[in-house]
Amino acid sequence: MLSGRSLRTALGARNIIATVINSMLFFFGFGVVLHGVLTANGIRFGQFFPPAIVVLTMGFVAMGSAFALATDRTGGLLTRCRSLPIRSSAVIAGRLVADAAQAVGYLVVLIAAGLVFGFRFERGPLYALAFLALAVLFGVALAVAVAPLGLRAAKPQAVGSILFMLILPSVYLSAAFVPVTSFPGWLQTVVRASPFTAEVQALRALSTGGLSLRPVLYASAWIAGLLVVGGLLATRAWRREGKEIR
Amino acid sequence: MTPMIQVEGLSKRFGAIVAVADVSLSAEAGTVVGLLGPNGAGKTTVVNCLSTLVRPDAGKLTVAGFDVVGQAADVRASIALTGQYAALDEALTGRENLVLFGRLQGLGKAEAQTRAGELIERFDIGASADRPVRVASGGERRRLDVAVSQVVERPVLFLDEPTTGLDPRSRRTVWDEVRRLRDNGVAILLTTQYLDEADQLADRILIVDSGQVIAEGTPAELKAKLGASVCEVRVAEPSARAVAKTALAAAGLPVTGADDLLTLPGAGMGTLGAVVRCLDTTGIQDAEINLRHPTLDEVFLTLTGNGSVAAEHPAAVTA
Repeated sequence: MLSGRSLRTALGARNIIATVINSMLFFFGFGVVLHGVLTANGIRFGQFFPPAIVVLTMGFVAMGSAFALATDRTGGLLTRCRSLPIRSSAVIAGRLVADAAQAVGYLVVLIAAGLVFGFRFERGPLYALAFLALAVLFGVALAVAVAPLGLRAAKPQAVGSILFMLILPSVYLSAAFVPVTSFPGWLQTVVRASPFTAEVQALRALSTGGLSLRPVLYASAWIAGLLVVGGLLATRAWRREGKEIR
Repeated sequence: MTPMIQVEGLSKRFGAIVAVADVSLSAEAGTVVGLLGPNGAGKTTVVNCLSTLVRPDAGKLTVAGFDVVGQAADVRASIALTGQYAALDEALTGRENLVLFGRLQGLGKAEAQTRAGELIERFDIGASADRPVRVASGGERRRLDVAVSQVVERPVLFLDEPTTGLDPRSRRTVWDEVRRLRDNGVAILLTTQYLDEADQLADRILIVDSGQVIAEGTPAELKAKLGASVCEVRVAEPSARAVAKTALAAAGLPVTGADDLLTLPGAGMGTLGAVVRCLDTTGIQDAEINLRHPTLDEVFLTLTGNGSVAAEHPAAVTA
């Protein structure tokens, strides 16, 4: 664990400025475009929008994680770590701690920006903590889910573009930026089943008073599922690596 | 004395590709064993198997007395590895990389710093130590990579093509370090595609091709394998070249080669005399005649069945 942290904190320090800038870009970029439409449809922008951008950002955290994993693998860093007397779990834990740290960094900036636009934790501090935890866990779970890709890809760039094409549409095809009911009927089924929908609705429920908390359950189930399935596939990819490198 | 690196009958295939077939080798403490071969010969696979990265299909491999399959953790605690690619964190500086890998291997903070400083000095990294690796040159990376493998000194070192693509100065730094480690009693397995590197560093050389060891011995033994000396004749005047070849052949000398460079293998002082007399009688004035030992290049190319010979030409005799 210690090893994993030291491996990544140094990296993290350098990325703080980039994190702030990126988050603000996402926030204002989407915010400016959607503010008018959402408000015109009677939606409280300040309360509705920040969870959406949080979910999208967690997608980017996962993308960055897989990219970094692929870079470390193709660059030989993972190979070196394997040849050292350190546990592979420490290497993986280091990666995930870094992802979580990055997720927290993004969250701080995004929520600060949200507060300016009227976002409030209406249910109090305990739910606010649950909000943060659920957001970070979602980011980590997504990172684990895409880790197998990072471990298999021939080039980091390929991971980047594949995940970009995967994650961005998935977020759009969810209740993140628009209500489920605004999709055509047949698409609504897809949207309702999306983990991004579960997550964004859970985050809204935890921050906004009066909403049903059931989505929190769905989101937690998704997180558990992603962790288990992603974890198994990643373990397999990690082991396979041992048989395939030349 | 038990060898620090011992491989008996190692085989490894990847799908249908046989990467290594029945390779055996051993290296004792304080010696360098060179694995010499072209790209794709299986050198890296041997190193990967020995460093517990790849599971061998067959064979008994021990490192520092530990079995690489059954006692992988003990093996990892005994080895240092420098792979073909610089395995560094690009975002960190050279110094940070050194400290990081020191910390990863259980050094204290201060200890890791001190060690990083020592290695920066020893590997001549000073100039680029505090810049991100991302902007370092190829030579700087490679030296840093070898330095990282030495953060904690281990009794066994695997160097997988440590100087591929290096400039002469970086190369020398790495070579000096390899010799220093060997003198300190480290057992070293070195893979290389450079004959002069194997010649310079290795106590024993195994020439591998297509996953098999095709020759083995000390550099001197391998050179001796090609037989006696080689006599070379270079005729300056283009029009006289064919004449010279015909004359030499007519004199019963085993002449081969293209017109501008005639080669007479298995030569001795007698051959030299005969060549000089023959050319003199034919009336060729301007020719360069060399008598030299075969280079490792020739041994290598002969053994791997690659036709053309690119050799050095020390001026021994000029007629």
